[in-house]
Amino acid sequence: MAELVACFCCSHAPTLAKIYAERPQSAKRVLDIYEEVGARVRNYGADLLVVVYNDHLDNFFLNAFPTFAMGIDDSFKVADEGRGGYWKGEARGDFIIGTRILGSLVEQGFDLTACYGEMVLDHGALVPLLMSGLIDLPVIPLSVNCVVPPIPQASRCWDLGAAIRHSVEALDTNRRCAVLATGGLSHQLSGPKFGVIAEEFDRGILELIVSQEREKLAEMTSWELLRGGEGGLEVLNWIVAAGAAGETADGEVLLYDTTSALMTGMGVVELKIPPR
Amino acid sequence: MANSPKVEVDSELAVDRFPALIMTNVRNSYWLSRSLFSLNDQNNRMEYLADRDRYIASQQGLSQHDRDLLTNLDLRGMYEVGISIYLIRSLCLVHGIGFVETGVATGGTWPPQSFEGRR
Repeated sequence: MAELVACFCCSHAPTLAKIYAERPQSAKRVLDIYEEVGARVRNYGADLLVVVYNDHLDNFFLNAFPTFAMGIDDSFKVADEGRGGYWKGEARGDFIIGTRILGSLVEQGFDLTACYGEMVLDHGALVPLLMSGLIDLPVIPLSVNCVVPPIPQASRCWDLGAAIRHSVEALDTNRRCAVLATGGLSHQLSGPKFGVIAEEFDRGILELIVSQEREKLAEMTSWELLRGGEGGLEVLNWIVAAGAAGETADGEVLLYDTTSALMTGMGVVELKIPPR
Repeated sequence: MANSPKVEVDSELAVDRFPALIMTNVRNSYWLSRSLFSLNDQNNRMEYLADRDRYIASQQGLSQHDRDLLTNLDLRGMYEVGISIYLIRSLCLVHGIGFVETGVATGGTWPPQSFEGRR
């Protein structure tokens, strides 16, 4: 049977793409920690990634913006994002496994939108994959709407995470799957609060998600998440991962960085799945 | 339906209760958002850069105010009608405008002040 072997959460600020490309010494710690995530995922023997992220109006538009959507394909092109994309390659997918996970999620009551072709990945999924060196692993992208209201409830995201774990563990293969949730922590990229980081908000999320009371995250309201700016809503992606890891997993904060040049409270967390 | 939980109609997740200046205001900004979204296509971008006035004139659904915002590259105005920063950001990338400059143009300051102190 397949197994969920790891859960990680990390930020996906587009400014990371510049850091990834230029590798300044000032960002060495951030770069090192993302590489550490990649090393740990490989150490767990993961051969499949469920990447939980949010589309930034690059793949979906206002005319049809799904609350939850899953990309089912053998490869994924990179979103343009107004500049021809942050990367010139294509990410790998796994059509068969993706189809089976999606089918299982629907059977569990999660009516995700199926994206069977032409789904493009924006920086939300791409940048962490590049920075962690995991871009060669097949991915099942899961987009959570954190951008266009109404957004899903945190409790629904937690339950979706638990359902993903069940879907993976029900697969009749020996695949080893990791969940990589991206987004957050606090950031606000427009208006009077542009660039500000809500450190108290961030530290509260980090403290809770690594504790064994992480299910309290599922009680957070949209308004509470907005205390971290509009980017605070992306913590919903982390809550999906937390739901997959469950209450009893140990957690570890690998990074919290408020380097203002990134305009984001940068967090990286591992939720350790006990071996079966 | 029998097993469906009762849903509060005035849910805090209702579209109209989100502050327009925090998130995408879908009611006021659909067609302008559509025009900005179109620039995520290389061919459209080339057409736009070759003749902005013509490209803007060709766009459907825009109000005169929308057209003025586009023509004048009025990022603050776009922010105020509720355009997502991600679409504004794409437009700025087309024009080679940097991230900080984009944020400041929507009403921000750089360096930013502390979040908690401004609430």
